Amino acid sequence: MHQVTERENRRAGAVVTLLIGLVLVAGVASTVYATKRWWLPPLVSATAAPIDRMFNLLMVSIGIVFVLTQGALAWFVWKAARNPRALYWHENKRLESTWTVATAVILTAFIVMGYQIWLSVHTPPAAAAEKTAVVEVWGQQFYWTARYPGPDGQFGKTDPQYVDFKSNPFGIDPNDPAGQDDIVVDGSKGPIVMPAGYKVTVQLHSRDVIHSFFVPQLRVKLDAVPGQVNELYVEPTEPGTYEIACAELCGVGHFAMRGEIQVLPESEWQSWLAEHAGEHGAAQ
Amino acid sequence: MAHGGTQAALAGHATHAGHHHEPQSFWRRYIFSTDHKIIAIQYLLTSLVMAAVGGFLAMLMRVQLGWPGRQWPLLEALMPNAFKGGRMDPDFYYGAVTMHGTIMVFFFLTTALSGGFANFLIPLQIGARDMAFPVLNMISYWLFPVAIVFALASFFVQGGAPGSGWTAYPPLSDREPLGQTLWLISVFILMLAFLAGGINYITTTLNLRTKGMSMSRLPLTVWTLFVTALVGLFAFPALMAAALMLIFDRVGGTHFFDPAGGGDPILWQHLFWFFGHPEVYIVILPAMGIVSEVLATHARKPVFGYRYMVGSTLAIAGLSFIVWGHHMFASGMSPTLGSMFMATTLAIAIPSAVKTFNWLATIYRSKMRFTTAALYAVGFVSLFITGGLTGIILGNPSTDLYFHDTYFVVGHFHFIMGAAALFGVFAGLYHWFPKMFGRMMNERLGKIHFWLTFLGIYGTFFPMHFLGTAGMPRRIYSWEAYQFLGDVATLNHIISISAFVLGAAQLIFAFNLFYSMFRGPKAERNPWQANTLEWWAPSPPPHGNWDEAEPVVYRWPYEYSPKYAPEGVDHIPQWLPEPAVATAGRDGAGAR
Repeated sequence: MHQVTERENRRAGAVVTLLIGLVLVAGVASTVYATKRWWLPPLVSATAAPIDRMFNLLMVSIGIVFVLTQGALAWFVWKAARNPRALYWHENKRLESTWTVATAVILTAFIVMGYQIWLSVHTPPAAAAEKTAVVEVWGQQFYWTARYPGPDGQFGKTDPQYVDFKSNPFGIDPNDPAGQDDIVVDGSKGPIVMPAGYKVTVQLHSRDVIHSFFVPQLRVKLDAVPGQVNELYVEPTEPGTYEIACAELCGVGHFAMRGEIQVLPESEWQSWLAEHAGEHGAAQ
Repeated sequence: MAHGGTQAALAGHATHAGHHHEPQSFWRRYIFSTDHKIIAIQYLLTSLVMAAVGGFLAMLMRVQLGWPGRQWPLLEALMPNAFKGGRMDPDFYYGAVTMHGTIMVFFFLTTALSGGFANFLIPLQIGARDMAFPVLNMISYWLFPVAIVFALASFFVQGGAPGSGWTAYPPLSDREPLGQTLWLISVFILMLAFLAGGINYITTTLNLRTKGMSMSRLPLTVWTLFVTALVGLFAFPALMAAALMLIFDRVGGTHFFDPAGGGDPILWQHLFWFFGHPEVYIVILPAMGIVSEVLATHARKPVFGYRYMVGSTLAIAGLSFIVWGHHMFASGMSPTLGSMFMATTLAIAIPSAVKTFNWLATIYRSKMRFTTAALYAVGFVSLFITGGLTGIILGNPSTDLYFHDTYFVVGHFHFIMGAAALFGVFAGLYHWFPKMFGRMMNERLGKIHFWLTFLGIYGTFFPMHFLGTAGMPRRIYSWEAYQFLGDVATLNHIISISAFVLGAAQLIFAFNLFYSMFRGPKAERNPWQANTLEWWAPSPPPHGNWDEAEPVVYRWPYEYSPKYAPEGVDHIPQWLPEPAVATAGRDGAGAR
């Protein structure tokens, strides 16, 4: 039935070795090339620097394991086509426990390192920190809006009865003095503003379905879930304009839910606040 | 003790059909069959048809993602509703996204492995005459086409297929048109089918093992299929409950998941992923078992670390229930809870790594016969390594925050539960085809199919990681609007072209499958000189499996190239008694 000559079998083995070798070489080469062309966008956040370091460490580690294991696979396959007889070898407790423990040790190290970063990005700025800012970001199909507490640092009360999509989409209570200077930015018309060098708290809300607030250059991503408030903390470092994408499927316009963050230098931030105080979302 | 199964098998069988079968009508024999092998083939062929549908949808998605905004007059002529004005309609695109995922995960991989291979292999490999509950087995299969009808009907109702993805997160899935309800009903019915199947696999494996077949002598395929059934028994009800609650929300006025009525959308995510993560292992564990089996047989070498293989299977099954939160790192969960899920997620990498090392050790100093089945098993190991390694980046929540819901994730899970599981299916099909149909597949076509599939898969899914590092979110219909994505056009062209090569290669397989089924050369009982019991039965085995008494088992299934074997004998089958070994000949024919 299955009559394959020794020579044909060797040739088939050589082809498999070649294929795996190709994967190894092309995998490493394309990854190195991709670091120049399709890698993480430039980082503009102080809080996220450890994330990039962790990523680089993990990439190098898995790169080494990738080369060793795929290389071993290619080599074993090459030899397997040529061995006169298979080795009767099916157990080696020492070897097996060694690689189990070694894997566990390496992964534990990654867990410990990742744990610290994970906690650090979730730590709210201390009340004593001098430069803080708060912005409330709302996702809805299919754009982002934002509200700032204004120069007084206090959000005004909101109530659905005051909602007017033309002049007061957040429904800010006109009788609450804290709300008089609140600022509302319609992200579909202009960028959402953040100050550079500040520890910014972003409070995420959603008006309809789940969205995800993703600013690649700031390395932040968090879901905006209807019915709950999620907070993320970020410290932008470089003034400039950065794109917001929605990372959670939110309907047919999901792909077009693009927004912008404008990071302003400190002086411009203060004048921006003063200039826009009291804008509750009137058409610009 | 464990041998009690034989009598149960005989007794159970005598009551229902016996193995002296009277001639049956075509309907009884091939359509409403209670024979586990026919049911297995029904499951396999139906799931392969569904794979073709799911693959076709993937090709359409790659048409759009490779060249967004371009007009396709030919496609418009073929599918006027999907390509309005020559451009793909975003509504259709999201329907395709949802149905591609649903079909590939549920209707292809789960059913092919846990419906097809489990049905075919469990009774044959443990020496039973059939499943413990043959009629339930038939019902389990016939629920499957009912589920398919509901799922595919959603394409043709008002509003089309649901656009909420295979994860169907509410409140979006609350607001989708009618197709979403059909989708939920379909999933619910399919889960019923899987549960009926799972109960059969568990009972059969525990009770119907033949004399001598202790649990420590089970082939690894049976071990993984058995453990998979156990995982499903605990995982499927979570999704069934969630689906039922969402149906109530949609048509019954309840608000389980709708915050406007006091519900919680995150509740769905917990329920869904409590099912959804084990589901990943429901797909990959049987593929791992098949690959272990196929590798040992064609490498003529015992599986390395049998005990560790079984142990890691159990460890993966157990851990799979406490890692679900890693799908929700970005949902706003408490950092403490996130830390727990990080620890369990990276812990599950340990048994996975153990398995990989064991496969490498099995190939090491073997004498491999490079049949197509062997190629797919070796290819599986390569894919599993690649896909597993990127999981370490995603399992670490600090780095996951950037990669969550980007194409990095798409690349990662397509390597593991797409490509690797697919390679498991192919390895199994090429390996057991002679037993299923009594004919051999064409090896030359098989090898061409393997080369193209292997390269096509790497060309399609490896560059997706770079889309992810560049920050491209998944499930977007067009990437053109974003400046930070830079030059992803090149990557998307490469991916789409590779995907078309991959898709076209499957036509070779389809031809080979159907041609060989009817015209392939006749297969012997044991063409690969394998050790497991199914190769002792005729090819194909008759209803009742064994043309004489059930086989008796004398050893573990991986006695390849033992030192004591006589000259020219490189394997000692499980069914061969000790004194017969010396005179048995190549596949124990002398002892039969």
